[in-house]
Amino acid sequence: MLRRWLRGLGLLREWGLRLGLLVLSATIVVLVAMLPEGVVVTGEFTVSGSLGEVRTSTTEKFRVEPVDADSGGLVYGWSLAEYRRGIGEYLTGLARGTLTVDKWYGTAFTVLPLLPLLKEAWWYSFELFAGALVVGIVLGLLLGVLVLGSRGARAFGAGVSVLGVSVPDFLLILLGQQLTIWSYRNFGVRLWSVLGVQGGERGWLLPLVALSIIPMAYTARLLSTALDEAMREDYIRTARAKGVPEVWVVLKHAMRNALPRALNGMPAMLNVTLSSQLVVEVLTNHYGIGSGLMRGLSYSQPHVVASIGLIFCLWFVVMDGLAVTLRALANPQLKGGEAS
Amino acid sequence: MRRLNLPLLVGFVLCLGLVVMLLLPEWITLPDPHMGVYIQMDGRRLRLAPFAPGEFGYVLGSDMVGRDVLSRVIYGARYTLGLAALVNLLRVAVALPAGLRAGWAGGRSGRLVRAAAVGFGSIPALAMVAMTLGGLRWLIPGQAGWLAVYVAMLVLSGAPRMAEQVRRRVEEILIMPHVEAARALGATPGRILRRHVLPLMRADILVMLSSEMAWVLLLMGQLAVFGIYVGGTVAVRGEGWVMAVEYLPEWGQMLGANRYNILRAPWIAFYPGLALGLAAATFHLLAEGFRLQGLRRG
Repeated sequence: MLRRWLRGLGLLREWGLRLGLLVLSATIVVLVAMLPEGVVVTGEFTVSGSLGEVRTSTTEKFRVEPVDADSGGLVYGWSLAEYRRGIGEYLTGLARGTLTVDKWYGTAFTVLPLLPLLKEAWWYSFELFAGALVVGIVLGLLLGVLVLGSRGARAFGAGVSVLGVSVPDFLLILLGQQLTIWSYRNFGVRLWSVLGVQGGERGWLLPLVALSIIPMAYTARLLSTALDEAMREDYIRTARAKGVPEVWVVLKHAMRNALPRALNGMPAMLNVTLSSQLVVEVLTNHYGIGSGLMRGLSYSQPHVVASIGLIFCLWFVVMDGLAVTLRALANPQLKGGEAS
Repeated sequence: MRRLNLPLLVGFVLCLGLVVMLLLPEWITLPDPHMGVYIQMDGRRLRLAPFAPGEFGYVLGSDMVGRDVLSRVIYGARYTLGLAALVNLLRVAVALPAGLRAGWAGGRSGRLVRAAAVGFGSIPALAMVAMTLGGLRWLIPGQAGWLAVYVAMLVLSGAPRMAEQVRRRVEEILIMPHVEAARALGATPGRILRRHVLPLMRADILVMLSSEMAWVLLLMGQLAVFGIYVGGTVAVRGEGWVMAVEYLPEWGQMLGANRYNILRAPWIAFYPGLALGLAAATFHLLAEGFRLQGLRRG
């Protein structure tokens, strides 16, 4: 009974800490995202953001070189009063639910309420994230268990998980795009939809595969390390000596001790997966909050950027808290150590 | 029989490939990475850039204004790897002293390092850096200023986590008997850190350097996808058209500036992306190999 109370208190403390962290990160996000609100134009030059220009109209070769004299653009300054006003307006709009956006997918120049759009985009992103997490974790568990198999199986599991962590998300998507173009040109087989940045078709398979690689690799690595350590413990030898079947030894003894340890690495995995989600969405024409963030940055919409930043903070803290809760619930030592 | 450290081996082979790429312009004559041609004659037909891989002698194709992608990717290794190495060195220069101090002194500096690591860890690094750089974009005058802010943000996004890793390791080493003996003999803090703590951290620092290099390259690639990169653009103007093209042959910039051309001319973004991704994978594999080697040595 006392243990249960202590465990409950420990969990409350963990959630309290995460709430504090949420407030801190939300403050940072709003302060950072609203930076453009303080920017004011104080002068004017020529073409914006350019190093210069080169002229060509013939078949002759030309050298692309920057011309410093031609560089320039608008001249910007910083106004603290404007920045404060921007933050105030944003927070008021957020509290009242009256934030608006003037450019959204396929609805250019029509002012629309922002929060319902973000809700829709979030759900779209969440479906992808949850799907990738489920697929990735299930595959990762299977790969992680290979550590108990033959030497070849161990090497295969380790190799796939190392590659999964090493190969970047954007490279996977670029390779996926090339692969489906190649297979269609050579064999007439489309492996998945051809997806581009805000263009091309809409599809699920490529983003799902690309996003599930990270959870898969992380889960496999975490579980195989934890299982490897657990299988060397004395209680495993005792169970085997008592004649307990090997499957039961793994499921009842090794897994129950390895899983809480593997859950320790979950927050890092979620952080990397969330980061990856932004890139996957942008590169695969997936109109979730990741693409929304890029549009917000491209079109200088601080309200969109700040709101999406807040969603990310909340999302991460909730997932992190859930991982901690799961770990606490799965920890056999807090249940009286009956598993060992 | 000695077990093969496959990640280290593959990492070294790929690393060798990167070194060859860095030195290749010294050995062979490559097309000028800034030299372009917009119109080419294909028999009696006029062809406009971009040219596909294999056409008109372009091995990996050309970009939107006819510059050679192969040459740009090879020259790009110097800019991209140099930039990532600079960020990495600056991260170490910030994180190592901070982590050593926090690990040695504990107290307020320890809490500060821990809080910074937790704070920065609670928001995806990509989102944080993209939001800050996106917000500051208009305030930074000139390419040099933009490069400085870009590097500073990349350093800031990883240094707290690195400092926390150093702090934890220092705390572990400080309770070892040889440190206790040195303390009892009256060694100064500087001597203890230099002679008794840092030598034990050599393997950790090696793993950290490779791993951080991989994370920096990954972040540079991800930021490029978000349209945040260094190098500047040049307006190329013809009869009735104008095109803003990236200037420096930096992999991130080549990937980022051409991300909208993925469906039209996929090779322009693909090869720089491949180079960037493989470079990140190389350093990940090296880190994994060094970690494995450390574990086997105990």
